[in-house]
Amino acid sequence: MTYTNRLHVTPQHFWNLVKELTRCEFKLRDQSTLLGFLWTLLHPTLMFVVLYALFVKWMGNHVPSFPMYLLVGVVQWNYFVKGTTGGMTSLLQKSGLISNFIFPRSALVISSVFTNLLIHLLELGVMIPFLFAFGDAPSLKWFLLPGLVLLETVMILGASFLLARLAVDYKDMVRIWEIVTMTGFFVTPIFFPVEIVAPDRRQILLLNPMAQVIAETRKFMVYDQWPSPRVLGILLLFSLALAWFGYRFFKKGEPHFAEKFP
Amino acid sequence: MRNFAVLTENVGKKFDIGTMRQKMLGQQFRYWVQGHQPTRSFWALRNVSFRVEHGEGLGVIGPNGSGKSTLLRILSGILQPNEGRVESNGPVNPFLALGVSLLPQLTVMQNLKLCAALLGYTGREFRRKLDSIIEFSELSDYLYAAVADLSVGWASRVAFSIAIHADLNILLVDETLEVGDAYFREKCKRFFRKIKEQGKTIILVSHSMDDIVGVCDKAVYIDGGRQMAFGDVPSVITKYENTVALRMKKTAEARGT
Repeated sequence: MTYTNRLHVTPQHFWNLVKELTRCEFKLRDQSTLLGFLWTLLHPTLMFVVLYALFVKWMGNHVPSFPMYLLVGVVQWNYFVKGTTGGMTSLLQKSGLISNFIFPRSALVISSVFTNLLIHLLELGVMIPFLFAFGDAPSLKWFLLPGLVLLETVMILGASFLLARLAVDYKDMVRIWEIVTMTGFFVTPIFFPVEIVAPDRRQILLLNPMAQVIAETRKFMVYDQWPSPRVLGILLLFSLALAWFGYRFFKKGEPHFAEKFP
Repeated sequence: MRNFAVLTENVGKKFDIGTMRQKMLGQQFRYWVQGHQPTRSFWALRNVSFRVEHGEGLGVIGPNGSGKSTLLRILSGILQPNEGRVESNGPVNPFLALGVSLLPQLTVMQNLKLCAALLGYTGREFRRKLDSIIEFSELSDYLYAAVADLSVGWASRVAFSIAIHADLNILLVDETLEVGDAYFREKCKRFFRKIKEQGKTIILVSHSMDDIVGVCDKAVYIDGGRQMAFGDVPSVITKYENTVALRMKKTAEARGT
């Protein structure tokens, strides 16, 4: 039998919990101080600078507006990796709360994704002036950006639910995901255009949903084109399905999470 | 409302030993291929049955490692029993261990907020009760100190003060009184007696028989995961103390003194 403690969880309670957990997470990462945020910013900045310095001579000839092309790719990929990794380890890092309190464990995953979303938004806030500086005049199409961020967030959330449960069950999940995302960085057109890949292999690369998210964002952030509604539609359906499936998978494992922690 | 607060019938909890709690994926794959998992089961708790009415206090006693905390974790819904039945009328406060690990790097205030959120407060409820929580905890001078910098006794008051102010019918307290100083303990005991009069139920794990006698109406004695006695406080304590005395005597005899 399953026994449920009748602690009432209304949407207000749940929201308050997510808010407090997010606040704690933010403070734990020193994000409430300027210096702490600068450290976070350093990672994508260095990645950008190094990739730019290495490849501008080569890719610069194939890709128009290469700096912006690269910047958008790096920032979005970075959000995906940070978001999913944070979501995956959210239960492991708060194991003390899990073994001592009863509350919807999904709040841990959601607050971790929220924290990374907030950091991503701050990063975008820093990135946009650079886009002004590097690129052409800003276009009204830039207002599509929040939609794309939301889409990516739903995708990250779904993946996080899935990974979070797997990481509780299997100790090596964290390392496996490290390898997957490392490989992902090289097979996603972040610092190269997809055209340099042989046409028959291109299709395989473009099966990667993150490649599509980044490609669509570049269309309107860098090249002043409209993104493809068909691709966006498919991405949205995929993200929602992933979030739904991930959440169900997570919920099924939830009653037994506490047993995995001392 | 039915008249009991908490009811357990033949509750058992089994843990797998001989394997890590968190397996490796590769290991799991090998088990699938082999068709079995090389684990042994360990019953941390078995055949525990008792009933506590509203407004009563239940003391849980027994030696270290006897399954007392596991029992409380089951009652709070953190662990699921493998067999038997648990029922509770009204929400159970899931507050458990001694020095319950919140986020020690953060301030007392932030921990209070988090703990309240974990126990199902909304922001407004928390602000309304904040003054009385702080007053009870006596931490008003340390609100912006990191919990890690407080003494164990002080730190355990953070979660404790929140938990007892939560509007919950059934209170689980696991050895928390033990680290409190004499004054705080007395204050807590008085508080427990008061809320019992309001019809709330307290389940107290303690190694101090004085605390059990002072707060509880019934007691359950657990040893090695088995329920040895359940009933009124004096008889259960006598049984426990006799067992302890017998064990002491055996050890002394074994040493040949």
